[in-house]
Amino acid sequence: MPRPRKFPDGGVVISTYVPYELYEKVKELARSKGKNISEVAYELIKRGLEASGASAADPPDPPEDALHVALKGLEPLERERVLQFMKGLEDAEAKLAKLGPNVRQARAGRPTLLDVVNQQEVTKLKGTVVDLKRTYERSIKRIVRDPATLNMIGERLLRLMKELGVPP
Amino acid sequence: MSAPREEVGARLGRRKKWQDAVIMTIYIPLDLKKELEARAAARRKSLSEYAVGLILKGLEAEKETEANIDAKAKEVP
Repeated sequence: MPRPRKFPDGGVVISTYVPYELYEKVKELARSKGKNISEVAYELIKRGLEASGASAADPPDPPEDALHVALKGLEPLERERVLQFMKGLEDAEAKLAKLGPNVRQARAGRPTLLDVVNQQEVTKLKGTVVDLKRTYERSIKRIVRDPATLNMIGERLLRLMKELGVPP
Repeated sequence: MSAPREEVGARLGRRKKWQDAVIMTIYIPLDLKKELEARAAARRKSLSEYAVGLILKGLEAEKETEANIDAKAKEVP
């Protein structure tokens, strides 16, 4: 007779990269409870979700909402221009996040091939941010009339510039 | 663990970040995976990163519960 399904609606396996210390803690907890690691990790994820409570719910992105409200009153061409700029900004932010803090600065010593590739990425990203800054000053400042929205866009651009060391 | 720690780091090409990491596989319901993916995407994190954050939160909650139980046990004469 087949074993009953643990999750009647279907279960999947997810792979997570966890720090070794955390893995050891989960392993220890599993041993003390007489369960396997996967079961304990699943329980911890559920508890983590409960612990974060309402704050875990997908937060609405207020700046984005404010942006869309501000875009409503614009001409289609201008709206498209702002949306394109925002997409460029988001892409740059995502690339920066992907690079991580360790690769943003050149390391001391002989660079490895990976370091060289990462530095090329950083240089390319700096170029993109300089372009974004130019677009912001030439068009976005003129198009977006709502000061709060303009401030939000400016803050995001400034943060990117600061992280990459692009002069204001 | 599907591979030695050093291999995991090397394979990902991010030795420094993953030097002390291991792959942990977790069997979860399909709907929970979908929920986690959606929440992770909203935070611009990978499913793995988000799940690790939740595991840490869960461990903290577990510790608190244990501490509460211990405190109550001490109160009982």
